[in-house]
Amino acid sequence: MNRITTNQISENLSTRTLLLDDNGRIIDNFLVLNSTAEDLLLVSDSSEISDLNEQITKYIILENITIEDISNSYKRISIVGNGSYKFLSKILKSNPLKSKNVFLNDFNFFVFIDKSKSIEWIDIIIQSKDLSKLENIILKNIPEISDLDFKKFRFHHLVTVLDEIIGINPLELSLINLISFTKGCYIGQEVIARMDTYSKVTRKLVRLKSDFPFQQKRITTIKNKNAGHLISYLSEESQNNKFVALALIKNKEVVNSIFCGGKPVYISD
Amino acid sequence: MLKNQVPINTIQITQKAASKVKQFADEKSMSKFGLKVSVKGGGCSGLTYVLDIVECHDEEDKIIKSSGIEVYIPKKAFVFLAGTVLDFSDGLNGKGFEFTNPNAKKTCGCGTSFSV
Repeated sequence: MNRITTNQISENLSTRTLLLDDNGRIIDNFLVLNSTAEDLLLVSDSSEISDLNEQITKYIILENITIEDISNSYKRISIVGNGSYKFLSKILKSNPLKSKNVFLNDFNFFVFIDKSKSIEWIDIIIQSKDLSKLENIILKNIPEISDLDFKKFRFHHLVTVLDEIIGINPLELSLINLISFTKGCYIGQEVIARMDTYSKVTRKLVRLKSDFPFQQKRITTIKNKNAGHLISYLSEESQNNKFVALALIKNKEVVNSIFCGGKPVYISD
Repeated sequence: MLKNQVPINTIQITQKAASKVKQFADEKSMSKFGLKVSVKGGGCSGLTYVLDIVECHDEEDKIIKSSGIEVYIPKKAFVFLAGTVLDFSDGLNGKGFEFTNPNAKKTCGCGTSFSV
């Protein structure tokens, strides 16, 4: 995995890493947990596990490596937002909170502290059979949010999900924390290194607001030239009666007036 | 024979590469040796060449004789290497062992990895 993904994967160290194509574009984003010399637990953000399996398998040539899909045996819970670290530390009676396998009462689970996000973000990977036990403890203290509220929350903190970023260069998404620039070669490394060294990143991830619903993906300049594109948007109004979206916008257009479907849109701080 | 005329069912080692391999084998005091040429996943372009000087071949290796040395290629790797020429580029700015692989659609700048 170290040879094919962007981040440093070390024994007994959990990490988040990216699988890129040879043009440096994102194929998958996943956690590598509890890595030992013999076994890795990969938690993919992809809903299509067979795709990931295929992507990894094509790089296994002579090594004696097998991939087993254990998706049905595990579930993921994400605890997000300010206060998440404090909350989980209190439950686990552990301070400071670290990424590790933890035991609580009569069950155990993996805790992954995701430092790549702009906010406190914890992923918990637990065996399906123990899920209700943990949910009982967590949901007593903090609310579960709807998919829509989660999307609003993500947009507010510029957090993307895999489906939105497949085919995009990670440097354009400020996912630099998921890239090791010292570990050596991995697939797409040459493109990533060149873009970083020569400051060739020409687009950036921004949050857009509009008084009107977003009706097309293309974002234009005042002269109707291409300024970027939406990667995700909310069809419902968000706060202050505004519609919000995440978009990749050319750096040079960030300070200029931009439009979506002829209607003005604004980059939100 | 030109590089691009190497039959697709073999690989070719140039005289220069072969003498460099012999030199490395001598340095290791290996009287009997072969050059293992293989491929592993990873590297900038997805697949990376692997060279090793070994005393004997594995059971499933394809064995080719070129420029006076035996070349061992695992059958699973041969599909990526068929028709390849292995050369050696020396000098201060030389790149060392260089692969010219007709199966490679793209190679990285340093030439150690490729994609098909």
